[in-house]
Amino acid sequence: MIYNRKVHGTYFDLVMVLPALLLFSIFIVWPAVEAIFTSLYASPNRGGDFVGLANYREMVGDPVFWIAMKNNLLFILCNLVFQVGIGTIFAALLDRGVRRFSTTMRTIIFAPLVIAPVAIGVVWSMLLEPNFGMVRQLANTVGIKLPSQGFLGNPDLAFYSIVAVGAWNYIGFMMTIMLASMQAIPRDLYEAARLDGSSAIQTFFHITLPGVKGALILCSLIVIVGSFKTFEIVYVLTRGGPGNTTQVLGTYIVESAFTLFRPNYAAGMSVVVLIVAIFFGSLQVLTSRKRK
Amino acid sequence: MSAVTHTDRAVVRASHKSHPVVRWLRRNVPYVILVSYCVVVLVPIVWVMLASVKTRREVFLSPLGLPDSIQWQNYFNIFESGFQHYIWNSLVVTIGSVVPMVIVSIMAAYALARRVFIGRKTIYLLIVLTYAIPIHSILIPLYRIVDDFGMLNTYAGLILPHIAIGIPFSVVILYSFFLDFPEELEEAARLDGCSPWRILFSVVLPLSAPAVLSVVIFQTVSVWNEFLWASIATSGEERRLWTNGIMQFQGEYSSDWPKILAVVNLMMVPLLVIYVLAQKHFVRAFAGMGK
Repeated sequence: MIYNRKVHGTYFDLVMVLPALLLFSIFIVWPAVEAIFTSLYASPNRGGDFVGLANYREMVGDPVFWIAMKNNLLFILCNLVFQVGIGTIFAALLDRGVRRFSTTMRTIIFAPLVIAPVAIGVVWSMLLEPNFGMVRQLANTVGIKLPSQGFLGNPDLAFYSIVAVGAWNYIGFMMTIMLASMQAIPRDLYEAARLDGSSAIQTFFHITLPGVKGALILCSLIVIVGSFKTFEIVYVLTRGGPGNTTQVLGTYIVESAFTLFRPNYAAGMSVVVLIVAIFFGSLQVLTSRKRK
Repeated sequence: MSAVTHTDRAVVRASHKSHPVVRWLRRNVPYVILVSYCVVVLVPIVWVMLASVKTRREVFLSPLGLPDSIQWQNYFNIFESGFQHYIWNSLVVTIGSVVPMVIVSIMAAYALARRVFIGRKTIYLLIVLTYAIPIHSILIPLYRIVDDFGMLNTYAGLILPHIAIGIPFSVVILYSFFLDFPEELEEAARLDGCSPWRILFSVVLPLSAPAVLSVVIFQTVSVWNEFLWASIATSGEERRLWTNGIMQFQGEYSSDWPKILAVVNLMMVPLLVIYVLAQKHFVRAFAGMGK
Protein backbone atom coordinates (compact mmCIF):
# COMPACT_ATOMS: atom_id res chain seq x y z
CA MET A 1 0.00 0.00 0.00
CA ILE A 2 2.88 2.31 0.84
CA TYR A 3 4.24 1.52 -2.60
CA ASN A 4 0.94 2.53 -4.08
CA ARG A 5 0.97 5.86 -2.28
CA LYS A 6 4.42 6.71 -3.51
CA VAL A 7 3.23 6.40 -7.08
CA HIS A 8 1.22 9.60 -6.70
CA GLY A 9 4.32 11.54 -5.78
CA THR A 10 4.76 14.28 -3.22
CA TYR A 11 3.19 17.10 -5.20
CA PHE A 12 -0.23 16.21 -3.83
CA ASP A 13 1.07 16.02 -0.24
CA LEU A 14 2.82 19.36 -0.52
CA VAL A 15 -0.24 21.18 -1.84
CA MET A 16 -2.37 19.57 0.86
CA VAL A 17 -0.19 20.45 3.83
CA LEU A 18 1.38 23.72 2.76
CA PRO A 19 -1.49 26.21 3.28
CA ALA A 20 -2.17 25.05 6.84
CA LEU A 21 1.52 24.74 7.60
CA LEU A 22 2.32 28.25 6.36
CA LEU A 23 -0.48 29.97 8.27
CA PHE A 24 0.23 27.94 11.37
CA SER A 25 3.99 28.64 11.24
CA ILE A 26 3.69 32.38 10.65
CA PHE A 27 0.95 33.13 13.16
CA ILE A 28 1.47 30.48 15.86
CA VAL A 29 4.93 28.90 15.82
CA TRP A 30 6.82 32.08 15.01
CA PRO A 31 5.13 34.18 17.72
CA ALA A 32 5.49 31.32 20.21
CA VAL A 33 9.24 31.16 19.57
CA GLU A 34 9.53 34.93 19.53
CA ALA A 35 7.74 35.15 22.87
CA ILE A 36 10.72 33.38 24.38
CA PHE A 37 13.21 35.75 22.72
CA THR A 38 11.18 38.82 23.63
CA SER A 39 11.20 37.78 27.26
CA LEU A 40 15.01 37.80 27.27
CA TYR A 41 15.31 41.42 26.12
CA ALA A 42 14.75 44.71 27.91
CA SER A 43 13.17 46.97 25.34
CA PRO A 44 10.06 46.47 23.28
CA ASN A 45 11.86 47.16 20.01
CA ARG A 46 13.74 44.45 18.23
CA GLY A 47 17.43 44.79 18.89
CA GLY A 48 16.96 46.05 22.45
CA ASP A 49 19.39 45.06 25.18
CA PHE A 50 19.74 41.40 25.97
CA VAL A 51 18.97 41.00 29.67
CA GLY A 52 18.92 37.23 30.01
CA LEU A 53 16.62 36.06 32.72
CA ALA A 54 16.11 39.48 34.32
CA ASN A 55 12.42 39.56 33.39
CA TYR A 56 11.93 36.16 34.99
CA ARG A 57 13.83 37.25 38.09
CA GLU A 58 11.57 40.26 38.39
CA MET A 59 8.56 38.00 37.97
CA VAL A 60 9.62 35.86 40.92
CA GLY A 61 9.77 38.99 43.07
CA ASP A 62 6.51 40.47 41.77
CA PRO A 63 3.65 39.93 44.27
CA VAL A 64 1.00 40.49 41.57
CA PHE A 65 2.49 37.71 39.46
CA TRP A 66 2.15 35.36 42.42
CA ILE A 67 -1.42 36.49 43.09
CA ALA A 68 -2.23 35.72 39.45
CA MET A 69 -0.45 32.36 39.65
CA LYS A 70 -2.20 31.51 42.91
CA ASN A 71 -5.57 32.46 41.40
CA ASN A 72 -4.92 30.30 38.34
CA LEU A 73 -4.12 27.33 40.58
CA LEU A 74 -7.07 28.06 42.86
CA PHE A 75 -9.25 28.18 39.75
CA ILE A 76 -8.14 24.65 38.89
CA LEU A 77 -9.11 23.44 42.36
CA CYS A 78 -12.46 25.27 42.42
CA ASN A 79 -13.33 24.26 38.86
CA LEU A 80 -12.50 20.62 39.59
CA VAL A 81 -14.93 20.73 42.50
CA PHE A 82 -17.68 22.84 40.93
CA GLN A 83 -17.50 22.15 37.20
CA VAL A 84 -16.23 18.58 37.09
CA GLY A 85 -17.74 17.49 40.42
CA ILE A 86 -21.20 18.94 39.92
CA GLY A 87 -21.07 18.13 36.21
CA THR A 88 -20.42 14.46 37.06
CA ILE A 89 -23.27 14.37 39.59
CA PHE A 90 -25.68 15.98 37.11
CA ALA A 91 -24.57 13.52 34.42
CA ALA A 92 -25.20 10.58 36.75
CA LEU A 93 -28.63 11.95 37.65
CA LEU A 94 -29.51 12.41 33.97
CA ASP A 95 -28.17 8.98 33.10
CA ARG A 96 -29.78 6.94 35.90
CA GLY A 97 -31.89 9.17 38.13
CA VAL A 98 -34.54 10.61 35.82
CA ARG A 99 -36.63 9.14 33.04
CA ARG A 100 -38.58 12.13 31.77
CA PHE A 101 -37.36 15.47 30.40
CA SER A 102 -33.73 14.35 30.49
CA THR A 103 -33.04 15.73 26.99
CA THR A 104 -34.73 19.04 27.78
CA MET A 105 -32.77 19.45 30.99
CA ARG A 106 -29.52 18.55 29.28
CA THR A 107 -30.25 21.10 26.55
CA ILE A 108 -30.85 23.83 29.13
CA ILE A 109 -27.82 23.08 31.29
CA PHE A 110 -25.50 23.02 28.26
CA ALA A 111 -26.88 26.26 26.75
CA PRO A 112 -24.58 28.85 28.43
CA LEU A 113 -21.66 27.33 26.55
CA VAL A 114 -22.75 28.94 23.27
CA ILE A 115 -23.10 32.43 24.80
CA ALA A 116 -20.05 34.67 24.39
CA PRO A 117 -17.96 34.95 27.58
CA VAL A 118 -17.98 38.73 27.13
CA ALA A 119 -21.79 38.77 27.09
CA ILE A 120 -21.92 36.46 30.10
CA GLY A 121 -19.59 38.84 31.91
CA VAL A 122 -21.71 41.88 31.02
CA VAL A 123 -24.91 40.16 32.17
CA TRP A 124 -23.49 38.90 35.47
CA SER A 125 -21.86 42.23 36.27
CA MET A 126 -25.38 43.68 36.11
CA LEU A 127 -26.96 40.84 38.11
CA LEU A 128 -24.26 41.25 40.77
CA GLU A 129 -24.34 45.06 40.72
CA PRO A 130 -24.23 46.16 44.39
CA ASN A 131 -27.23 48.54 44.47
CA PHE A 132 -29.83 47.47 41.91
CA GLY A 133 -28.59 44.04 40.80
CA MET A 134 -31.11 41.25 40.86
CA VAL A 135 -29.01 39.15 43.24
CA ARG A 136 -29.15 42.01 45.76
CA GLN A 137 -32.92 42.30 45.31
CA LEU A 138 -33.42 38.56 45.71
CA ALA A 139 -31.25 38.55 48.83
CA ASN A 140 -33.27 41.43 50.29
CA THR A 141 -36.53 39.60 49.64
CA VAL A 142 -35.27 36.48 51.42
CA GLY A 143 -33.78 38.66 54.16
CA ILE A 144 -30.07 37.94 53.60
CA LYS A 145 -27.80 40.91 54.21
CA LEU A 146 -25.11 41.30 51.55
CA PRO A 147 -21.93 43.35 52.07
CA SER A 148 -22.42 46.92 50.83
CA GLN A 149 -19.78 46.76 48.04
CA GLY A 150 -21.62 43.79 46.59
CA PHE A 151 -19.79 40.72 45.37
CA LEU A 152 -17.40 42.02 42.73
CA GLY A 153 -16.17 44.97 44.78
CA ASN A 154 -15.39 42.84 47.81
CA PRO A 155 -11.83 41.46 47.87
CA ASP A 156 -12.96 38.30 49.69
CA LEU A 157 -15.93 37.55 47.48
CA ALA A 158 -14.86 38.75 44.02
CA PHE A 159 -12.79 35.67 43.21
CA TYR A 160 -15.52 33.26 44.24
CA SER A 161 -18.09 35.23 42.26
CA ILE A 162 -15.94 34.66 39.19
CA VAL A 163 -15.72 30.96 40.07
CA ALA A 164 -19.52 30.85 40.32
CA VAL A 165 -20.03 32.59 36.97
CA GLY A 166 -17.48 30.23 35.41
CA ALA A 167 -19.37 27.26 36.82
CA TRP A 168 -22.63 28.64 35.40
CA ASN A 169 -20.85 28.85 32.06
CA TYR A 170 -19.14 25.44 32.00
CA ILE A 171 -20.97 22.88 34.18
CA GLY A 172 -22.99 21.83 31.14
CA PHE A 173 -19.79 21.21 29.16
CA MET A 174 -18.31 18.90 31.78
CA MET A 175 -21.70 17.25 32.29
CA THR A 176 -21.96 16.48 28.58
CA ILE A 177 -18.54 14.84 28.40
CA MET A 178 -19.26 12.79 31.53
CA LEU A 179 -22.73 11.82 30.30
CA ALA A 180 -21.37 10.57 26.96
CA SER A 181 -18.91 8.42 28.87
CA MET A 182 -21.54 7.10 31.31
CA GLN A 183 -23.87 6.10 28.50
CA ALA A 184 -21.14 3.79 27.24
CA ILE A 185 -21.17 1.74 30.46
CA PRO A 186 -22.89 -1.60 29.75
CA ARG A 187 -26.36 -1.70 31.30
CA ASP A 188 -26.02 -5.29 32.55
CA LEU A 189 -23.39 -4.10 35.05
CA TYR A 190 -26.11 -1.97 36.65
CA GLU A 191 -28.55 -4.87 36.48
CA ALA A 192 -26.05 -7.11 38.27
CA ALA A 193 -25.50 -4.46 40.94
CA ARG A 194 -29.22 -4.12 41.45
CA LEU A 195 -29.60 -7.86 41.90
CA ASP A 196 -26.75 -7.76 44.40
CA GLY A 197 -28.84 -5.29 46.31
CA SER A 198 -26.39 -2.37 46.14
CA SER A 199 -27.83 1.10 46.74
CA ALA A 200 -27.83 3.90 44.15
CA ILE A 201 -24.91 5.59 45.94
CA GLN A 202 -22.89 2.34 46.10
CA THR A 203 -23.61 1.70 42.41
CA PHE A 204 -22.35 5.20 41.58
CA PHE A 205 -19.06 4.65 43.40
CA HIS A 206 -18.47 1.06 42.33
CA ILE A 207 -19.71 1.01 38.75
CA THR A 208 -20.25 4.50 37.36
CA LEU A 209 -17.08 6.20 38.65
CA PRO A 210 -14.61 3.45 37.62
CA GLY A 211 -16.35 3.35 34.23
CA VAL A 212 -15.78 7.04 33.55
CA LYS A 213 -12.19 7.31 34.78
CA GLY A 214 -10.92 8.27 31.33
CA ALA A 215 -13.51 11.03 30.93
CA LEU A 216 -12.67 12.34 34.41
CA ILE A 217 -9.00 12.61 33.47
CA LEU A 218 -9.96 14.39 30.25
CA CYS A 219 -12.22 16.85 32.11
CA SER A 220 -9.43 17.55 34.59
CA LEU A 221 -7.00 18.31 31.77
CA ILE A 222 -9.57 20.61 30.14
CA VAL A 223 -10.02 22.39 33.47
CA ILE A 224 -6.27 22.82 33.97
CA VAL A 225 -5.75 24.24 30.47
CA GLY A 226 -8.98 26.25 30.75
CA SER A 227 -7.84 27.88 33.97
CA PHE A 228 -4.72 29.23 32.29
CA LYS A 229 -6.85 30.28 29.30
CA THR A 230 -9.15 32.37 31.51
CA PHE A 231 -9.32 35.95 30.36
CA GLU A 232 -12.68 37.36 29.28
CA ILE A 233 -14.76 36.60 32.36
CA VAL A 234 -12.20 38.14 34.73
CA TYR A 235 -11.58 41.08 32.42
CA VAL A 236 -15.26 41.96 32.11
CA LEU A 237 -16.30 41.26 35.71
CA THR A 238 -13.43 42.78 37.70
CA ARG A 239 -10.52 43.79 35.41
CA GLY A 240 -8.40 41.86 37.92
CA GLY A 241 -9.53 44.02 40.85
CA PRO A 242 -10.36 45.04 43.47
CA GLY A 243 -6.71 45.77 44.16
CA ASN A 244 -5.38 42.93 41.94
CA THR A 245 -7.11 40.30 44.09
CA THR A 246 -8.71 38.56 41.10
CA GLN A 247 -5.80 38.99 38.69
CA VAL A 248 -5.04 35.89 36.62
CA LEU A 249 -2.08 35.42 34.28
CA GLY A 250 -4.26 36.15 31.24
CA THR A 251 -5.40 39.54 32.52
CA TYR A 252 -2.03 40.44 34.02
CA ILE A 253 -0.23 39.69 30.74
CA VAL A 254 -2.60 41.95 28.81
CA GLU A 255 -2.42 44.68 31.45
CA SER A 256 1.39 44.58 31.61
CA ALA A 257 1.76 44.68 27.84
CA PHE A 258 -0.93 47.13 26.80
CA THR A 259 -1.67 49.29 29.85
CA LEU A 260 1.68 49.37 31.65
CA PHE A 261 3.57 49.17 28.30
CA ARG A 262 5.98 46.48 29.46
CA PRO A 263 5.67 43.95 26.62
CA ASN A 264 8.94 42.18 27.40
CA TYR A 265 7.98 41.56 30.98
CA ALA A 266 4.54 40.38 29.82
CA ALA A 267 6.23 38.07 27.29
CA GLY A 268 8.01 36.35 30.18
CA MET A 269 4.69 35.57 31.83
CA SER A 270 3.21 34.45 28.53
CA VAL A 271 6.05 31.92 28.23
CA VAL A 272 4.91 30.44 31.57
CA VAL A 273 1.35 30.13 30.22
CA LEU A 274 2.72 28.71 26.97
CA ILE A 275 4.62 25.95 28.78
CA VAL A 276 1.60 24.96 30.88
CA ALA A 277 -0.70 24.97 27.84
CA ILE A 278 1.73 22.98 25.69
CA PHE A 279 2.25 20.35 28.37
CA PHE A 280 -1.34 19.80 29.43
CA GLY A 281 -2.81 20.45 25.98
CA SER A 282 -0.73 17.73 24.32
CA LEU A 283 -1.45 15.42 27.25
CA GLN A 284 -5.12 16.00 26.48
CA VAL A 285 -4.70 14.98 22.83
CA LEU A 286 -2.60 11.95 23.73
CA THR A 287 -4.98 10.63 26.41
CA SER A 288 -8.02 11.02 24.19
CA ARG A 289 -6.31 9.22 21.31
CA LYS A 290 -5.29 6.42 23.61
CA ARG A 291 -8.84 6.06 24.86
CA LYS A 292 -10.12 5.44 21.36
CA MET B 1 -23.84 -20.85 43.53
CA SER B 2 -23.72 -17.17 42.86
CA ALA B 3 -27.14 -17.33 41.24
CA VAL B 4 -28.52 -18.56 44.52
CA THR B 5 -26.91 -15.70 46.39
CA HIS B 6 -28.41 -13.21 43.94
CA THR B 7 -31.89 -14.60 44.40
CA ASP B 8 -31.47 -14.73 48.16
CA ARG B 9 -30.43 -11.12 48.31
CA ALA B 10 -33.23 -10.04 46.03
CA VAL B 11 -35.69 -11.82 48.28
CA VAL B 12 -34.20 -10.27 51.40
CA ARG B 13 -34.37 -6.87 49.76
CA ALA B 14 -37.93 -7.32 48.60
CA SER B 15 -39.05 -8.34 52.08
CA HIS B 16 -37.47 -5.19 53.59
CA LYS B 17 -39.11 -2.84 51.10
CA SER B 18 -38.00 0.71 51.82
CA HIS B 19 -40.34 3.15 53.46
CA PRO B 20 -42.69 4.95 51.02
CA VAL B 21 -41.13 8.31 51.96
CA VAL B 22 -37.67 7.01 51.11
CA ARG B 23 -38.94 5.70 47.82
CA TRP B 24 -40.66 8.99 47.04
CA LEU B 25 -37.44 10.85 47.80
CA ARG B 26 -35.38 8.49 45.69
CA ARG B 27 -37.68 9.06 42.75
CA ASN B 28 -38.00 12.82 43.07
CA VAL B 29 -34.79 14.23 44.51
CA PRO B 30 -32.96 13.90 41.15
CA TYR B 31 -35.71 15.96 39.50
CA VAL B 32 -35.63 18.58 42.26
CA ILE B 33 -31.85 18.98 41.92
CA LEU B 34 -31.80 19.11 38.12
CA VAL B 35 -34.86 21.33 37.75
CA SER B 36 -33.52 23.79 40.35
CA TYR B 37 -30.28 24.05 38.45
CA CYS B 38 -32.15 24.52 35.16
CA VAL B 39 -33.88 27.48 36.85
CA VAL B 40 -30.46 28.88 37.83
CA VAL B 41 -29.38 28.62 34.18
CA LEU B 42 -32.59 30.02 32.75
CA VAL B 43 -33.22 32.99 35.09
CA PRO B 44 -30.33 35.15 33.80
CA ILE B 45 -31.20 34.28 30.19
CA VAL B 46 -34.89 35.11 30.66
CA TRP B 47 -33.93 38.23 32.61
CA VAL B 48 -31.88 39.44 29.61
CA MET B 49 -34.74 38.74 27.20
CA LEU B 50 -37.29 40.57 29.35
CA ALA B 51 -35.01 43.46 30.28
CA SER B 52 -34.16 44.09 26.63
CA VAL B 53 -37.77 45.20 25.99
CA LYS B 54 -38.35 47.09 29.26
CA THR B 55 -37.89 50.65 30.36
CA ARG B 56 -34.92 51.43 32.55
CA ARG B 57 -37.25 51.88 35.53
CA GLU B 58 -38.86 48.49 35.07
CA VAL B 59 -35.50 46.69 34.86
CA PHE B 60 -34.61 47.98 38.31
CA LEU B 61 -38.02 47.84 39.97
CA SER B 62 -39.31 44.46 38.80
CA PRO B 63 -36.39 42.46 37.41
CA LEU B 64 -38.44 39.40 36.52
CA GLY B 65 -41.82 41.06 35.90
CA LEU B 66 -43.31 41.47 32.45
CA PRO B 67 -42.96 44.91 30.83
CA ASP B 68 -46.05 47.16 30.78
CA SER B 69 -45.52 47.77 27.11
CA ILE B 70 -42.84 46.25 24.94
CA GLN B 71 -40.02 48.74 24.31
CA TRP B 72 -38.87 47.89 20.79
CA GLN B 73 -37.27 51.32 20.97
CA ASN B 74 -34.31 49.69 22.78
CA TYR B 75 -33.53 47.72 19.64
CA PHE B 76 -34.01 50.69 17.30
CA ASN B 77 -31.60 52.62 19.51
CA ILE B 78 -28.91 50.01 18.97
CA PHE B 79 -29.12 50.45 15.24
CA GLU B 80 -29.28 54.22 15.52
CA SER B 81 -25.97 54.03 17.39
CA GLY B 82 -24.56 52.07 14.45
CA PHE B 83 -24.24 48.65 16.01
CA GLN B 84 -25.01 46.95 12.68
CA HIS B 85 -21.50 47.99 11.66
CA TYR B 86 -19.99 45.72 14.34
CA ILE B 87 -22.31 42.87 13.41
CA TRP B 88 -21.28 43.14 9.78
CA ASN B 89 -17.58 43.05 10.72
CA SER B 90 -18.17 40.01 12.94
CA LEU B 91 -19.96 38.20 10.13
CA VAL B 92 -17.15 38.94 7.67
CA VAL B 93 -14.47 37.85 10.14
CA THR B 94 -16.33 34.72 11.27
CA ILE B 95 -17.14 33.44 7.79
CA GLY B 96 -13.80 34.63 6.44
CA SER B 97 -12.02 32.69 9.18
CA VAL B 98 -14.03 29.50 9.50
CA VAL B 99 -14.39 28.60 5.81
CA PRO B 100 -10.68 28.74 4.90
CA MET B 101 -9.71 27.31 8.30
CA VAL B 102 -11.84 24.23 7.75
CA ILE B 103 -10.65 23.78 4.15
CA VAL B 104 -6.93 23.96 4.94
CA SER B 105 -7.45 21.79 8.05
CA ILE B 106 -9.24 19.09 6.06
CA MET B 107 -6.44 19.06 3.51
CA ALA B 108 -3.67 18.93 6.09
CA ALA B 109 -5.41 16.41 8.35
CA TYR B 110 -6.10 14.08 5.42
CA ALA B 111 -2.52 14.16 4.20
CA LEU B 112 -1.16 13.71 7.72
CA ALA B 113 -3.46 10.76 8.40
CA ARG B 114 -3.23 8.99 5.08
CA ARG B 115 -0.11 9.85 3.16
CA VAL B 116 3.53 9.08 3.72
CA PHE B 117 5.96 11.97 3.34
CA ILE B 118 9.00 13.42 5.05
CA GLY B 119 8.26 15.60 8.08
CA ARG B 120 4.78 14.19 8.58
CA LYS B 121 5.40 13.19 12.21
CA THR B 122 7.13 16.48 13.05
CA ILE B 123 4.28 18.55 11.65
CA TYR B 124 1.67 16.56 13.54
CA LEU B 125 3.70 16.83 16.74
CA LEU B 126 3.91 20.64 16.38
CA ILE B 127 0.16 20.75 15.88
CA VAL B 128 -0.49 18.62 18.96
CA LEU B 129 1.84 20.78 21.05
CA THR B 130 -0.06 23.95 20.18
CA TYR B 131 -3.49 22.30 20.49
CA ALA B 132 -4.52 24.29 23.56
CA ILE B 133 -2.41 27.43 23.65
CA PRO B 134 -4.43 30.53 24.50
CA ILE B 135 -4.08 33.66 22.40
CA HIS B 136 -2.63 35.64 25.31
CA SER B 137 0.39 33.34 25.44
CA ILE B 138 1.57 34.57 22.02
CA LEU B 139 -0.20 37.92 22.04
CA ILE B 140 2.78 40.28 22.18
CA PRO B 141 4.84 38.85 19.27
CA LEU B 142 1.68 38.17 17.28
CA TYR B 143 0.71 41.81 17.61
CA ARG B 144 4.14 42.86 16.35
CA ILE B 145 4.12 40.45 13.43
CA VAL B 146 0.66 41.57 12.33
CA ASP B 147 1.81 45.18 12.73
CA ASP B 148 4.91 44.49 10.59
CA PHE B 149 2.69 43.10 7.86
CA GLY B 150 0.70 46.35 8.08
CA MET B 151 -2.41 44.36 8.95
CA LEU B 152 -3.57 46.08 12.14
CA ASN B 153 -7.14 47.37 11.70
CA THR B 154 -7.73 45.18 8.66
CA TYR B 155 -9.91 42.13 8.09
CA ALA B 156 -6.78 40.17 7.17
CA GLY B 157 -5.19 41.02 10.51
CA LEU B 158 -8.24 39.66 12.30
CA ILE B 159 -8.84 36.67 10.05
CA LEU B 160 -5.38 35.17 9.46
CA PRO B 161 -4.48 34.71 13.17
CA HIS B 162 -7.97 33.27 13.80
CA ILE B 163 -7.44 30.72 11.04
CA ALA B 164 -4.02 29.84 12.41
CA ILE B 165 -5.11 29.46 16.01
CA GLY B 166 -8.04 27.29 14.92
CA ILE B 167 -5.88 24.94 12.85
CA PRO B 168 -4.50 22.72 15.66
CA PHE B 169 -7.91 21.85 17.13
CA SER B 170 -9.48 21.29 13.70
CA VAL B 171 -6.60 19.18 12.42
CA VAL B 172 -6.53 17.00 15.56
CA ILE B 173 -10.28 16.26 15.35
CA LEU B 174 -10.24 15.62 11.59
CA TYR B 175 -6.99 13.64 11.76
CA SER B 176 -8.46 11.17 14.23
CA PHE B 177 -11.59 10.89 12.07
CA PHE B 178 -9.57 10.20 8.90
CA LEU B 179 -7.41 7.62 10.71
CA ASP B 180 -10.54 5.60 11.45
CA PHE B 181 -11.92 6.05 7.94
CA PRO B 182 -12.26 2.63 6.21
CA GLU B 183 -9.20 2.36 4.04
CA GLU B 184 -10.87 -0.18 1.73
CA LEU B 185 -13.08 2.53 0.22
CA GLU B 186 -10.10 4.63 -0.78
CA GLU B 187 -8.27 1.56 -2.00
CA ALA B 188 -11.18 0.64 -4.26
CA ALA B 189 -11.30 4.14 -5.71
CA ARG B 190 -7.57 4.07 -6.24
CA LEU B 191 -7.78 0.79 -8.14
CA ASP B 192 -10.50 2.35 -10.28
CA GLY B 193 -7.91 4.93 -11.27
CA CYS B 194 -9.07 7.88 -9.18
CA SER B 195 -6.54 10.61 -8.52
CA PRO B 196 -5.90 11.42 -4.84
CA TRP B 197 -7.91 14.63 -5.33
CA ARG B 198 -10.91 12.70 -6.60
CA ILE B 199 -10.59 10.25 -3.72
CA LEU B 200 -10.62 13.08 -1.19
CA PHE B 201 -13.47 15.06 -2.73
CA SER B 202 -15.71 12.26 -4.06
CA VAL B 203 -15.08 9.41 -1.62
CA VAL B 204 -13.77 10.69 1.73
CA LEU B 205 -15.42 14.10 2.13
CA PRO B 206 -19.02 13.08 1.44
CA LEU B 207 -18.69 10.54 4.26
CA SER B 208 -16.99 12.98 6.63
CA ALA B 209 -19.93 15.33 7.15
CA PRO B 210 -20.29 14.68 10.91
CA ALA B 211 -16.62 15.45 11.67
CA VAL B 212 -16.55 18.50 9.39
CA LEU B 213 -19.80 19.81 10.86
CA SER B 214 -18.41 19.41 14.39
CA VAL B 215 -15.36 21.45 13.49
CA VAL B 216 -17.44 24.12 11.72
CA ILE B 217 -19.78 24.51 14.70
CA PHE B 218 -17.02 24.62 17.29
CA GLN B 219 -14.94 27.13 15.34
CA THR B 220 -17.88 29.34 14.37
CA VAL B 221 -18.88 29.69 18.02
CA SER B 222 -15.25 30.34 19.05
CA VAL B 223 -14.53 32.98 16.43
CA TRP B 224 -17.93 34.71 16.74
CA ASN B 225 -17.48 35.00 20.52
CA GLU B 226 -13.77 35.93 20.49
CA PHE B 227 -12.85 39.18 22.18
CA LEU B 228 -9.17 39.55 23.11
CA TRP B 229 -7.53 39.43 19.69
CA ALA B 230 -10.29 41.56 18.22
CA SER B 231 -9.61 44.29 20.77
CA ILE B 232 -5.81 44.17 20.37
CA ALA B 233 -5.71 44.01 16.56
CA THR B 234 -8.08 46.94 16.03
CA SER B 235 -7.96 50.44 17.41
CA GLY B 236 -10.40 52.61 15.48
CA GLU B 237 -14.09 51.92 15.08
CA GLU B 238 -13.69 50.76 11.52
CA ARG B 239 -12.87 47.09 12.04
CA ARG B 240 -14.16 46.43 15.54
CA LEU B 241 -16.34 43.40 16.17
CA TRP B 242 -19.54 42.98 18.15
CA THR B 243 -17.68 41.80 21.26
CA ASN B 244 -15.75 45.09 21.21
CA GLY B 245 -18.94 46.97 20.47
CA ILE B 246 -20.69 45.59 23.51
CA MET B 247 -17.82 46.61 25.78
CA GLN B 248 -17.91 50.05 24.18
CA PHE B 249 -21.65 50.30 24.84
CA GLN B 250 -21.14 49.19 28.41
CA GLY B 251 -18.69 52.02 28.89
CA GLU B 252 -20.74 54.69 27.08
CA TYR B 253 -24.25 53.86 28.25
CA SER B 254 -23.33 52.23 31.55
CA SER B 255 -26.64 53.09 33.20
CA ASP B 256 -28.81 52.28 30.18
CA TRP B 257 -29.12 48.58 30.92
CA PRO B 258 -32.01 47.89 28.53
CA LYS B 259 -29.97 49.17 25.62
CA ILE B 260 -26.92 47.07 26.54
CA LEU B 261 -29.09 44.03 27.22
CA ALA B 262 -30.84 44.47 23.88
CA VAL B 263 -27.40 44.07 22.29
CA VAL B 264 -26.66 41.01 24.44
CA ASN B 265 -30.01 39.51 23.51
CA LEU B 266 -29.63 40.28 19.83
CA MET B 267 -26.28 38.48 19.79
CA MET B 268 -27.34 35.65 22.12
CA VAL B 269 -30.73 34.57 20.76
CA PRO B 270 -29.75 33.59 17.20
CA LEU B 271 -26.96 31.36 18.51
CA LEU B 272 -29.28 29.83 21.13
CA VAL B 273 -31.94 29.14 18.50
CA ILE B 274 -29.43 27.47 16.19
CA TYR B 275 -28.13 25.51 19.17
CA VAL B 276 -31.59 24.25 20.17
CA LEU B 277 -32.40 23.25 16.58
CA ALA B 278 -29.07 21.51 16.00
CA GLN B 279 -28.27 20.56 19.56
CA LYS B 280 -27.23 17.01 18.70
CA HIS B 281 -24.48 18.42 16.50
CA PHE B 282 -23.49 21.07 19.04
CA VAL B 283 -23.13 18.50 21.79
CA ARG B 284 -21.03 16.31 19.54
CA ALA B 285 -18.91 19.29 18.46
CA PHE B 286 -18.09 20.28 22.03
CA ALA B 287 -17.91 16.81 23.54
CA GLY B 288 -15.86 15.94 20.45
CA MET B 289 -12.92 17.10 22.52
CA GLY B 290 -13.64 14.00 24.52
CA LYS B 291 -13.61 11.65 21.61
